[in-house]
Amino acid sequence: MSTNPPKSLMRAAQRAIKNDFFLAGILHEHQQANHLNDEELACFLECDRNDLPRLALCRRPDAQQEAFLSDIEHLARRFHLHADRLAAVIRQVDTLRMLQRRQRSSSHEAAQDLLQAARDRDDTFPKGTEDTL
Amino acid sequence: MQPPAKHIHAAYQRLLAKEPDAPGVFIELLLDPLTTALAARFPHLPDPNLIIDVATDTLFAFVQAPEHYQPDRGGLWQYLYGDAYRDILNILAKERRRYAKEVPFDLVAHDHADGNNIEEEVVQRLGFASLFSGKDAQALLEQLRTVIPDPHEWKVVLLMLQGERRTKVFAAALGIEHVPIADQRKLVKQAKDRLRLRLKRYGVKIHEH
Repeated sequence: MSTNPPKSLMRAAQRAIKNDFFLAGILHEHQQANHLNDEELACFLECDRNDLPRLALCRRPDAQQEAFLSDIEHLARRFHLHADRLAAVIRQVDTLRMLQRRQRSSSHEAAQDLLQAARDRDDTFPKGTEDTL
Repeated sequence: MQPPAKHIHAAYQRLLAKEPDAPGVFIELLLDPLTTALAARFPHLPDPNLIIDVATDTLFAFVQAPEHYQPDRGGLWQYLYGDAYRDILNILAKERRRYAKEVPFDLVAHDHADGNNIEEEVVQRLGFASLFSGKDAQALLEQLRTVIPDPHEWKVVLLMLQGERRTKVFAAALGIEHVPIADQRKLVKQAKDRLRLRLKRYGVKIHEH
């Protein structure tokens, strides 16, 4: 059983959510996407709830890097958690982020297309002629 | 209290080795000691979380680029403490600048009160400094009075806060009117410099032109 994390550490873990270097943001997004509270997340990862702030302050293993699996195993050993589930959490959030980026990008492209279409229309009708239609 | 150097060194080595849990270990080892040390240096900040957040940001920056630290230039604890300390000073300076823009605080530019209640006038002017000490102006004035128990020096402080500039008035407050004027100037300057430093510790800065 791990010791209770100090309040300052819990505050730091919250602050780390906005910093992509840490695991905090991944855990937070996974919780939001799956409607999990801390207890449920700890239960899913099979780790001690007290260790969640400590886990959040770890470096985020990068699924694109060779060291991904060894990083996951390292964290699994340290926090006695389920390695495959941690890897799945990271991959799920990575995928969600990628989809969100694509969505934003396609919305942006769609907006650009509309803008271009509007410009083309302006070119078709010289200034001052639109009102006569 | 500062953690043992060997513990700091071990955590630092793990960061350099890029162990994924090293940032958390490093932050947990140093966050509270760093916060405590900074809180002792800045005991009167109105927002206690400011120190925690500055210490946190210092450690966040460090764990992301531990290779920037050069051990031959000094101890790691001093490096982190110095970094956080400077950040707090910068934040306070920025706040003071912001506040000074909102409420001009210039002792010389202000009209003096009629002299009936010097302390009341001083309390009003201390309102600015009290913002940064987390106390009300009256409490700050009382605290200053306890740290400056000498009645002559206290009179000098009140004169400074009122914006008094004349050497002969300070000389009278210090009881040195009998000494030659050149020595009076020297002694008055020494006393004012010494007191200015002591006031600064409590967030009171006096602008003189």
